[in-house]
Parts: sequence; C-alpha cells; structure tokens
Amino acid sequence: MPRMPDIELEEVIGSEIEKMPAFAAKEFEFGYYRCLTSSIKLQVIYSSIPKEIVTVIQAAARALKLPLESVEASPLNILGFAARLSKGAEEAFVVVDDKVSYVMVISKNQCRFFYSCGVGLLDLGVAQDTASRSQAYSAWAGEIKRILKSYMLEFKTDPKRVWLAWDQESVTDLALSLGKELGKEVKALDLVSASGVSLGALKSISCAYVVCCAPILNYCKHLSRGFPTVRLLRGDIAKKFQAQLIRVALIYAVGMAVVVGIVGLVFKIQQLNISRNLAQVNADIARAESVTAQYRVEKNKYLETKKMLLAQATTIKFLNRVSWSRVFGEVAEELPEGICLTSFKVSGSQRVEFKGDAFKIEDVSSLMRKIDATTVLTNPKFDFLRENNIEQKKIFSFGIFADVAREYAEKSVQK
Amino acid sequence: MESSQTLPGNMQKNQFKSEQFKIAIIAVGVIYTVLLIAWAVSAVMDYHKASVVLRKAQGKRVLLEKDLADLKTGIVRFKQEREKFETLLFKQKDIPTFLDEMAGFARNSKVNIMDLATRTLAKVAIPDDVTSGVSEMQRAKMMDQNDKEQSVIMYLPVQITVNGRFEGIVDFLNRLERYRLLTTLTDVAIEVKEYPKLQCSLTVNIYSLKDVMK
Repeated sequence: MPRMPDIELEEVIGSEIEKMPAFAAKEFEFGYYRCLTSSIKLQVIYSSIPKEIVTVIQAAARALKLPLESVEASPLNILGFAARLSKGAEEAFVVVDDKVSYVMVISKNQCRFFYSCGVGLLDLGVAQDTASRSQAYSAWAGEIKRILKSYMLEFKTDPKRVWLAWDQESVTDLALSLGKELGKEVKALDLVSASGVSLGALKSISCAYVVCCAPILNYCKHLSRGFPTVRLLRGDIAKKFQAQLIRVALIYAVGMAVVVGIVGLVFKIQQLNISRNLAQVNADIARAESVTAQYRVEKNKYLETKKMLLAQATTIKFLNRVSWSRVFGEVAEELPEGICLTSFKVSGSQRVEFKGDAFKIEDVSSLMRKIDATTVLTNPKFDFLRENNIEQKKIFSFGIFADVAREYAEKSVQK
Repeated sequence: MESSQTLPGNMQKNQFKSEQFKIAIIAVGVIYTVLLIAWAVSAVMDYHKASVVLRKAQGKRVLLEKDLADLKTGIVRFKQEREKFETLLFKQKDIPTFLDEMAGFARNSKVNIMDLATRTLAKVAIPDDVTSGVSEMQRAKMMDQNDKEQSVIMYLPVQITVNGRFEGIVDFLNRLERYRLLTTLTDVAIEVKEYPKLQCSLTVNIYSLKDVMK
C-alpha cells in the first residue's frame, strides 16, 4: 500500500475486510502490522475476527478462569504452534476455513508472508463425486501453489515443508492432494493433539472455532507469543486495568492516609498537648499576675509607708537631736566671769534664748563672742540690755538669741 | 524496519476511556495527596505556631515568677527593716518602764522631778521639703496615703520639770538623750530659782510606730 496516515489506513483495512466473504455483513474486530518497506510503500499484515468469536473467546477464558491478559488473538491463531513446529526453519502454514484459505510463511519464528484466497472447505466439500472433488482439490491446491510461488518470487526462498490445518472430519485427503500439487512434504496440523488438550473439553465449541482457541492453548502450553496480538479483549482488560488501578489507587490512598495521617495526628496530638500545656501556663500566668498585682499593691503600700516613715524620721531628725547636756556643758565652760545666767530656753525652731545679769557690758559682749566661737551655737544676737541698780550697784540685765549650729545638729543625728 | 500496531475504533475508544480513567485517577490521587500533605503541613504549622506561643507564655511565666519572687523579697526586706526600725521605737509596754527608768535617772542625777505630765499622742508631721517637687495629684495621693496608712510614727510628748544643781540637770539630760529608744528633747528651759538650785523644764518626746486606721 502507499504510505498513508493511520486513520486512512484503518479505513482501507476495514473496507478490505468487509469485502471478504467471511466478514460480509458481520461485526468484526481487526488489528494490523504496518511495516515500511520503502519511503513510500507500506506492507500491512492485518487480521480480523468476527465479533461472535471474540465473545466465544471471552466466554471460554472466563469458563477456564484464565487471565484475560494472557489471551491473544493473532491471524490464524497458530503462530505459537507454528513457531514451535518449525523450530526457526522456513515453513509454510495453510489454514483452510469455511470460505477462505490462509497461507502464512514462518521463518525464524516470524510471520514473513500472509495471504488469503477465496476458496474454503465449503467449496471443497460441495463436490459429491470423486472426479469433481479431485478437480476442486486440484484447483484449490493450484491456488495455494500460486500463492507460494509469489512468495518465492518476492523472497527468493522456498519453504521446505507445508503444514495444513483444516477440518479433517468434513474433508479428507486434503494434505495428500496438496502434497502432490506442490511436490513438497505436507503435514496435517493437528491442533488438538499438539496442544495436549483433550477434545472433550473443546466439544462444545465448533471445530470452525477451534483455531480461535489457539491463544488459550498457547497459555496452557506456555508457548511463545511471537506474533503480535490484536487486543480484542481490550474492553475486559481495560475494566480489569481500571479495577486494578482503583485497587492501587485505594491502596495508595489508604497508605498515604495512614502515613500522612500518622504524621498529621502525631503533630495534632502534640499540638493538643501544647494547647493543654498552654492553658495550664496561661492559668499560671493569670494566677501569677493576680498574685503579682496583690504583691505589687502591697509593695507599693510598703514603699509608701517607708517613704512616709522616712519623711517622719526626717522631721524627727530636724526636731532637736542636739545634745543639750553638751550644749550646757560648753556654755558653762565658756561663760565669762561676771556673768550670771538666769534663764536658758530653747524653742522648737532651734533658737536658744539666754537671759542673765552682768556687771559690765563688756562681759555681755565677751559672752556673745564666745557663743559664736562654740561648736554648738552660732549667730548670737542681742535681744535687750537693761541697766538696774541693785543694792547701789549697777547690774546689767541682758537677753541674747543664738541658733544651734546646723552642722552640730546633723552630726548629733548621725551619731 | 519501523512497525506499529494500531487498534480499531472501538478499541481506541476503550483505550481512550482507560487513559481518561487513568488520568482521572492520577489527578484525583494528586489532589488527594496534595490535600493530605496540605493537611499534614497545616498540622505541622499549627504545632509550630502553638510551640512558639507556648514558649512565649513560658517565658512570660518565668518573668512573672521572677517578678513575684523579687516582690516577695522586697516585702520581706521591708518587713525586716520595719522590725529593725521598731526596735528603736517605743512600744506600749515600754512607756511605764521608761517612766520608771526616768525616775531612776533623776535619783542618780540628784535632781527632783517636780512635775511630769503627758500630752496627747500625735503624729509626726511630714516636712515640706519631702513633699516638694511632686505634683499636686501625687501630693494629694501621698497625703491620702498618709491618712490611710496604717503605720505611722507617733510621738508622745512628756513634759517634765526638774529641780536640782546644774551638774545634776546636765547629767539628767545626758541620760535622757542616751536612752536606748528614740527620744528627742524639746522646749528645754533652765531658770534660776534658788541659787545654786536650778529649775529645768523640758519636753521628752518618745516615738512609737502605730497602726492607724483612717
């Protein structure tokens, strides 16, 4: 075929299949190989199978509980057997269907050539007498020979042996007729005996469909699948694939949920513990704040009290912490002769008032100077001076003010 | 040789559905994974935030506890200072003792107590310079505190008049000044009555700490 896009190619193949008598007015499935033989030419090997056969295959697979993935459908469905029988040698396989005969050449376990002709078992079995039958057989064999000759012309080789598969119950001596026509060894391909499966298991299936069981037999006999399959069971496989995908997805979901859930839960639990601890800490903080506030009020009260007490102590300090005994001692010591003190008073404002009598005014002045010189009194001032005559003698009554020296008072307080 | 296998239309449809299904499952799986991871990350973030908040709260609690301990220490220290201060002041029971001892001082100093009278108990005034420099509000508060304050220094003036020689009076005053409890002497006045006898009048203030209610 000329090279063309896949969509067009499929349309062409579909129309080609529809032209075949076996698929006329039937539903079918098909698959194909597309091989590029040159830059512009395509070699296409396609296979088709009626829908009803697909249904039978599915039913058989289900009945035998076979995994659908192992079911494969290939043209003539005998590739596994062919590869096993030919053992890599170049051999031809002819399968005779009701209306069509298929010719396939296997070499090195690969299908190198595939062809069909419109003569089948129905054509061969119609003839009643021997002569007619022989003529029909000869015509059919000639067709096969011509096909194989075209193969020889194309590939320049000649298959050494021909395997023939057909319904041997309806038509006999077909292998012999073909052998004579081709001049080669033609062997009947007994699928049932080759598969090792008892015929009884296949009785319910028409012999016409026995070849369809080849994939099943392939699976049972562990035969290789050399020929690429057309995945006719794609729908079921897809369902299974989807189911498996769902299972995997569920396992993944559960796994992820478990792993992430454990991680998340661990942190959630930790968070809950932290929240619990936080509540406890907040309660402690609230209690501590309350107690602290009480203590702060109490401390402030004490501080105020302390301040007030200190203030009162300061008042006491400035009251009169003068050592009066010392003041009197110093005054008595410094009192000049001729002076007689009659009164000594100290007011609350630390002012000292002296009153006395003197014979001379100079004695009063001397007293004032001495008062100023003492460490306990300072700033002497006159209050009054009066002259009196007592017993015809001049007596001076005087009054003097003085202040208690501040330095002395503070020293006394410190002591 | 290049080769490929193509499926018929309905198979392609099946394959398309499978592909769609697979993509849908993968998309759901990705969303599910993202949501799960987001949840887990959210849990981790919440945990982290809660840890930070807890650490802050614990730090605050430690500070509060330290503050509380400091306050308690300060209060204890103040009470100790107050107790120490109180040892210098008169208590109610000390007054009779003081009067007895004062009589003893007079005897020892050879002076006669002519008169002895106690006046009203009064609160020691606060000097102006203590309350100066504070606002009116603070001053009012201080005065209010002063009124409310339970502990204040009170003084009891005891007016005494003694009669004796100068040396005796000076010794008597000296003994009063050196009394073991806080006293102050005010309004000291000495007059000559019958020389060499002198009359000395003075006021001895004895101080005590009182809890006064407002």
